[in-house]
Formats: sequence, structure tokens, C-alpha cells
Amino acid sequence: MVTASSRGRARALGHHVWLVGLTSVAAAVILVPVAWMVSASVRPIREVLTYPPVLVPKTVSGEYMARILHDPTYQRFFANSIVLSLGALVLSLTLGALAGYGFSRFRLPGGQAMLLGILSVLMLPRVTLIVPYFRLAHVVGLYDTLPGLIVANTAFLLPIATWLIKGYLDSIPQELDEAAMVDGCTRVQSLRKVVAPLAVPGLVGVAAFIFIGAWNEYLLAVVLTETPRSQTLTVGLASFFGQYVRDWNGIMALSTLASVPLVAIFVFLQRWVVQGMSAGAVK
Amino acid sequence: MRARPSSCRIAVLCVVVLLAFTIAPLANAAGSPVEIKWMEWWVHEWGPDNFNNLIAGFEKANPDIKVTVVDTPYPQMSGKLDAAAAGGETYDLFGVEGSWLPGLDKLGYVEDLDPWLAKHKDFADNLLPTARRKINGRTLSFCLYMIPYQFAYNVDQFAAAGLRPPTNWDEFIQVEKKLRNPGANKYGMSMPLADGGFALTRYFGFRLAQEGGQFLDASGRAVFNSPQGVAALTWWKNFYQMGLVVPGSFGEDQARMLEYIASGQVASIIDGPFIWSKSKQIDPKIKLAYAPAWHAKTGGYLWSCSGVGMSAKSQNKDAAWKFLEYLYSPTVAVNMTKAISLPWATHAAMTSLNGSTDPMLRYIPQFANQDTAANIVLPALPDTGTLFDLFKTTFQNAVSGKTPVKEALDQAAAAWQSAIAKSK
Amino acid sequence: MRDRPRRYAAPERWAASPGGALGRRAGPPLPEAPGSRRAGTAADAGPRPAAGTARRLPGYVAGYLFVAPAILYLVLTAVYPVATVVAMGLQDVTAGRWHFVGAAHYAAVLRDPIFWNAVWNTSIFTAASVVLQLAVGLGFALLLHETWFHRGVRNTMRGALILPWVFSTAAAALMWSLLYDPYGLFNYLAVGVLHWPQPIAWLGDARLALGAIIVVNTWKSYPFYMVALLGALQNILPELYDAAKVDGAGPWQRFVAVTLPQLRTVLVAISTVDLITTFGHVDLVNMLTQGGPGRATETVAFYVYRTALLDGNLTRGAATSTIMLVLLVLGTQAYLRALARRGEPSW
Repeated sequence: MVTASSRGRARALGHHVWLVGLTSVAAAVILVPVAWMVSASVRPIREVLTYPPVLVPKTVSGEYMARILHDPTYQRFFANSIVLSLGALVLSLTLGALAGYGFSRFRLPGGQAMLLGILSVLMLPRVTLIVPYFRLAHVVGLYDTLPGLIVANTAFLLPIATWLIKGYLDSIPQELDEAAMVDGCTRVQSLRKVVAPLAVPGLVGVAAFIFIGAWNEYLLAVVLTETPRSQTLTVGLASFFGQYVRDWNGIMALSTLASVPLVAIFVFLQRWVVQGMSAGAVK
Repeated sequence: MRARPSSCRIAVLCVVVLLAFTIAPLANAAGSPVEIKWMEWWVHEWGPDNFNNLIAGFEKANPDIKVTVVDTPYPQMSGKLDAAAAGGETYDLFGVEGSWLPGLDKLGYVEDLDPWLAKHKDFADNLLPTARRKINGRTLSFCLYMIPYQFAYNVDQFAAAGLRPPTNWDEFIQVEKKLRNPGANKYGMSMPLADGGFALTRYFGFRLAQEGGQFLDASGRAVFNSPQGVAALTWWKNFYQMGLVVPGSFGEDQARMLEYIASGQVASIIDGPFIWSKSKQIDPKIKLAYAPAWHAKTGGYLWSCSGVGMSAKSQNKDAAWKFLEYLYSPTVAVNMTKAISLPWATHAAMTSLNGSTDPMLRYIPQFANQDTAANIVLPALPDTGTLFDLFKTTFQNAVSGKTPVKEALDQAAAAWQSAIAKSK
Repeated sequence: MRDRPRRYAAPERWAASPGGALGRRAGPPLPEAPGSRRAGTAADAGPRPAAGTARRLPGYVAGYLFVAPAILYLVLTAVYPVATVVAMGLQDVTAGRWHFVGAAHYAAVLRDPIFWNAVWNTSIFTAASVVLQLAVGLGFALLLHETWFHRGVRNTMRGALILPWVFSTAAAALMWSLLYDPYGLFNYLAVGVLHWPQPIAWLGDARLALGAIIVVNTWKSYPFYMVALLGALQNILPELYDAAKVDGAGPWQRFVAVTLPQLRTVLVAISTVDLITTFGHVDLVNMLTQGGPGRATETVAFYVYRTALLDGNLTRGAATSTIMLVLLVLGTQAYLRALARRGEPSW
């Protein structure tokens, strides 16, 4: 028997189906370049540069990725990238969360100027900024070191982290803080118990941004380093770009390999956050 | 025997320690090697094995000098050099393009090499005359290898199409017309015009030399807007408008051009001798060859180069100079020429190419010698980067018909002239 | 006394269910505001005020304490470099000797028509990129937020859709240049399949090149918006949507009346940051067209790159950088002021 509710459900289902379909088609179109990049990392480049272009490889060879994975220099690059990104993440997230909370919850005199001021390092083209950063790194003795890279990268990522976290916290009404405080919490406790859990989904996005930003950053990485002891994957990638010829297979293989940890971390983080939230929801 | 008093023993100990501290550093200094840093981009270009052998050869012959190689990706070279020059890090030797020299010289970073040449006559005589790159009369860099530009073709594709390599400019046009196949989206060659230096060398400069023109006259004035220059640019405009080259030239860069030829998507190219060894990195089986030397009004060719410079702030200039002498020594020059398919900038290297069977290298002596008076070299100018960039617009506007040829060249020559005058 | 329990109802339930909009909730329904149909009332339903509230708590000391570590860090790591660049723009250097030239570089740059061409290109590039990234990112965020989407599918989609962001710009630009190539996929579809007479020079035609780069930039950066907005969407209480539905609002009106206001502060933050970073973006231009064809894709950042590094004129590049800084400071202030709600600062 066709009832009003079952007709409504059918309509809803139909609505869902075409939305799912739409999303899938859009996703497929967007992923075409990604498919090409992965395809170019498992077959010789001359098979990629053909006309007509052929997406599906005739022969799949893992040699390009294997060459990178077995190369101790690249293993070192990989380790350095992880240290750099984690270091920048911890530093930016901690300082940025505190500052974001301060800017969000307090009307500070000079706050607007400070907020605009911290963005100033992003408002200059990085190609000119590398000159003073190069000198600064030498002067403080952090040239060609991972801590030096972490410090430099954080200078560019922390302002963004602060702004984004402030944006998230602004969307969490202050009445909640106040309510908790009236209830007897100190400010820090209200921050920990009330605001922070609500901010977690937003923080995931900020964390992803910082991690990926530090992971793929190449200008500072090339200019502030000289030896594999501090060079990261992006330097390895940049060295595949020669004056006359670029090593496509190396570039695509390295990029594919370098993206795997990022996606894995991101998916894991998402699942962990969602789990945490649904667990708390059943009350 | 009475024991010596302990104070005496302590005194002796102190003297010994003191002596040890003073002598040891001296001994160290005598024994430990001087370190020179060479910043360059050529490890990937020449192959790590070639490169390591090069360094090892020097260090074996000079055990008191250690060469530390700082390999930087080419796209970031000029930025890092600038940062080093402004920030005080010294790279004793560095690879350098002519267009970077003026900027580095302004920062006081580059050593004047003329005094060194005066002191070492043998070295100076060994060097090709065109290998000294001068800014305002001072030699600031030596070319490491010279690059001529000539028509090269894919041997197999030409054989399959029944085509013979063109021996002059008219045959060149014929061959390109035969290679164009609209139905199959096929083109004979591509012209990357996104880079002004490219347009200046492979296309305009090449034809300019063959028309008997030159960039600068004897007094250093910009004269490429002469009738020969106009003829050269008009030739290219007519060629471009035949629609025989891959579309999108104005946005195409040299790496893409190399990918076209190496993947077989085009069958011909005008470029330097390295084009074959580079193409082999994409298709190891590809066979490229130069066409025999051409002759229009003259048999001249255009030459350019990449080179090395020495830092004015280096603490180890003598050691750095020793390395330069090694780098340009006949054995090394001839070996490197063979290894990387580029003529090293010395007489010995150029002579070694006589009788070569390499399909790219064997015609180079012809390019160099068939009409020596008509050979021109791309000049190193103040503000080279700006002027080259300006020429990109000049060339693009002229071949697309947006600006008349004479007017475009006059504007470019005026800009060059004002930059030259300002720097005097 | 009667007010207090009602004021707690929402906050308590917030605290008990940190997942915000996700998860089931117990507790009394929100007291309804009288059924007025003005847009924005759904957000006013109940004691929970609109997000982005203007009330800021006094207590400067505590505030400064929270903010101090970050400010101190940036003072130590950013002030010197920024000041150096600004100072370099006021000087010139010959043979290693620096001397003060005042506004000479600034005058030269501001008189240069190529600079203003770059400003124009950059404005178009930035505005179009940000709008498109926002639209695509928000669209996907809304789609992936729907709870009826099976969770496994949703996670897979999220993982897949962030891939453009995750790949390095160099590799992505290289691949896109191949796709745009006369021998590439798009032209194969045009010439080979649709029988166009000639391949389209996406990156070689002055009319198309900037748009082509905008497409690549959008493709590369929309996941940032998607991820950020997904996080913000999760904090919107379903009750607000329910209230709006009761009020008779359709899906678009619910979007405008509930979603957008809740996302407001996050959108302002992301878009401001994105505007600034996109304005200074140089990697794609450098890799895809080097400012060409002609100067059709030369952005301000590329102009600086060309002046400072390719032309060897470091000081003039520094002056241009400072001009860009000033433009962005003024532009950001104007942008934020335009977004401010009446009587309330938006930042």
C-alpha cells in the first residue's frame, strides 16, 4: 500500500540516489589528473607522452617507486619530512590554539592590529623573504638543520592556524564558556571540558592544513638546507627538475609515495574524531 | 736517585701540554685539506657517476684540497645564489648563467677573473675566445661548455617518412610541410617561445648569424635591428604563420619541447647538442642527429653557454683556481665533451670533435669553422634577464603580426641600448 | 530563577554531546521562538544565540596571556625578515655596497605598466580562485555531511577528494600541463573525438591561459575548504534545521538561514587566509606558463620573482614586495569591514 510516508521515503531515496550519483561523477572527473599521475609512476615516461593518450598502462612496473623506496637518501628525506611536519604541527597547533582562543574570547586592545600583523609574513612573496631567512638561519646557527626548518615553516603556518582556530571558536558561542564558569569551572576548565571538545572537528582540518603545508613546502626546504641530514622529500622532488629535462617517472613516483602517508593520516584522523564524537553522543 | 720535585714535574707537564696545543693546530693546518664549496646543478644533468669521477680525479691529484659539491635544483639556483650573495654564505665556485651575473655582481659577489687570466697565460690560451663572459669589460665567468644551435631530427621517423635531413633553410620548410598531418594532429616541430632567451638563441639569433648580422657592434652598441636583423625576424614570422609548429608556442617551455621530441610526438627540433643525451633519458632507444651545417647569406652560427664563477668573498681562491685549471685541463675537457655531448669551452675539446662519428657532435667543428667571421655569441649584458624577457614579447608580437617587425626590433634595440648606456 | 534552567538546557546538551550535530540526543526540545518567517530566525530559535557573537569578555590580562606565546614566537621569527624586505626596497646595491635610495624603486614600479597588468591579473586570479574553491569545497562538504550517506562510502569519498590537495604542486602542475597540451587528453577529446580542426592552446592562448590556471588552482585547493567546512558543519545542531523546517523553510532557505550563519566565522577566517595566500601564489604560474603568453598570466608574485631573481634586481623586487604587502593590508581590512555585520566587528 502506497502511503504518504512511503511515497515520501521513495522520493527521499530518489533524491539521495541522484545526489550520490552527482557526487560520484564529480569525484571521478576531479580524480582524472590523479589517476594520470599514478599511472605515470608505474610505466616508462615515453608511454605516457603518447598521442592518443592512454590512461591504462600496458605494463605496470613498480621499479620507479622501488628505486626511491630502496634509496637510503630518500629514506632519510622521508624521515626528515615526517619530523618537520610533526614538529610544525605541534608547534603551530599549540601556539595557534592558545592564541585563537585568546583572540576569540577576549576583546583585546590592539587585538585587531595584532591579528592583521601576524598575517604580514604571508603578505610578502616568499621568494623575497628567503633572503633574510637564509641570513637569519646562518646567524642563529640553524642553517641546514631540521629544527631550523621547523622554526621557519611555523612562522608561515602559525598565523593561518591562529586565524582558522579563532574562526572555529567564534562559532562556538561564549554563553557556553560562561555557563560552565558560572557552574564553577575556571576558565581553563571550561576551555578543556566545554570548548575544546566542540572545537575538535575544526582542529582536525587545521591540523591537516598544517601537516600538508609543511610536508609539501619546497622553497624554504631547498634554500635553508644543503645536505640530506635536513633535506626533505620536497628537495628530493625538486632535484628531479633539471635545466633541460625533468624526470617524470621520478617525479610522479615520489609524489605518489609521498601522498600515501598524508591520506592515511587524514583518514585515520577523521575516523578517530568521528568515533570519539559518537561515543560521547550516546548519553 | 732522588725523585724530581712534583712541582717540576707539573711544570714540564704544562709545557708539554702547551706545546701540544700550539703545535697540533699547526700540524693540522699543514695536514688537513682545504675545503672549497662548489654550488651547481649538474649532478643530475651529467649523471652522478660522471660527476663523482670528475671530483675524485681532482682530489686524487690534489690531496690537500677537498671539494664539497652543493647540488641545487636548477629552478632554485638563482634564488639560492642571490640569497647567499645577500646573506653572506660563500660558495667558492658556482655554476652560473649569463643572465644571473649582473645581479650577483651588484651584490659584490663575483670575482674579477681577468687578473687570474693574466697570471696564467697557458690557461688563458687554452680557453676559447668566446668563453670569457664579460660585464662592463670585466671577465666575471668562464663558459664551461659552448652550445651551438642547429636543426636536429629523429632518424627513424625521417627514414620511415622517406625524408632526408634538410641541408638549407628552404629544405627545412619543405620537410616541415611534409611532416604536418592535420588529420592525425601531427606536427613536425615545436617552438617554445615562452622563454625570451630561447627566441633569442635558437630562432632569431641563429638566422641573424646566417644573415650576416650581429647583436652588438664593435663599440658595444645594440645593432640587431639592422636590415639583417629585420630579415631574420621576417623569415621567422613567415615560417611561424605557416602553422607548421605545435600550437601554444607562446606558453611552451623548453622542457616540454624536449618531451615532444623525445617521445616522438614531433620529429624535428632546433636546439643544442645535449638534446640527444637528454632525450635518451626519456626514450633510451631514440636516435637523433644533427643536419649538416647550413648556409644562408653566411655560414655563421649562434653560440651560447653555461659557465662557472668564483666568489669574490672566497677564502680559498687559490684552491678554487686550481680546481678550475683541472676542470679545463685537456684530459678532463675531452672526456666530459664525450660524456655529456657538449663541447667543453677549450681548444683541445673542440679539436677532439674532428673526426667524431657521434651524429650530434660530428658537425660541430663545421658549425664553428665554416665561417668563423660570421659566428656570433649571445652577449652577457647588464640587466640580461630583463632584456631577454623583453625580447620574448618582441618575438611573440612580431611573429603573430601584432607589431611590425622593424618597429618591434627598434623598440628592443632601444631598450638594450639604454641598459648598456646606463651601466657604463 | 526561571531563566536559569532554560539557559542551561542548550549548553548542557552541547557539553554532553561534543559531537554537536552528530549523534542522538536526549533532553527537552528547544523552546521555540514565535513563528516569524524572517530569514535568520531559525538561528535565533531557543536561548542559543547566533554564532559569531560580538560579546567579548573583558579581562585583558588573561587574554594577553593566551595570545602572548604565539605573538612572541612571531616577533622572534617574522619581524626581522619582514623588516629586512621592507628595508631592502629602500636601498640599492652596487658592487656589494648598499646605499639608501628612498622611494626610487617604488616610483619605478608604480610607473611600470607591466606592474599594473600584474595587479589586474592577480586580482582576477585571486577573486575567481577563491570564489570557485569556496563553492566547490562547500558543495562537497555539504554533500559529504549528509548523514544518510553510508559511512564507508563517505570516508572513502573524503579520502579520495582530498587527493588533489595532497599531491605536491610541482607534480600536479606538470600533469595538468600535459592534460592541457596540444597532444594531451583534453585536446584529444576536442580534436580526436569531437573533430575540432585544431588543438586548443589552453596555456598558450592569452585569452585562455589565466582561466586555465584558475581551474588548476581551484582543483588543487578546494579540499582545504571542504575539510575545514566539514569540521564546521559538524557543530551545527540539527535542532536548528528542524526548527527551520517547522517554520516551513525549503532546503535552499534552510541553507541560507541556518547553515551560512553558523559557518560565517569559519568562512570569514578561511576566505581571508585564502585571499592572502592566493594573491601571493607563484608556483603554478611559474610551472605552467612563466607569466606567459605575453604577460597574460603574470601575477604580482611572479613579477617579483622575475624582477628579483631572473633579472637580478633584488632591491626592486623587495620594493614591489612591500607594495604588495600594503595592497594586501588595505585589501584585507576592506574585505573584513565589508563582511562585518552591523554593529559588530567580524574579526
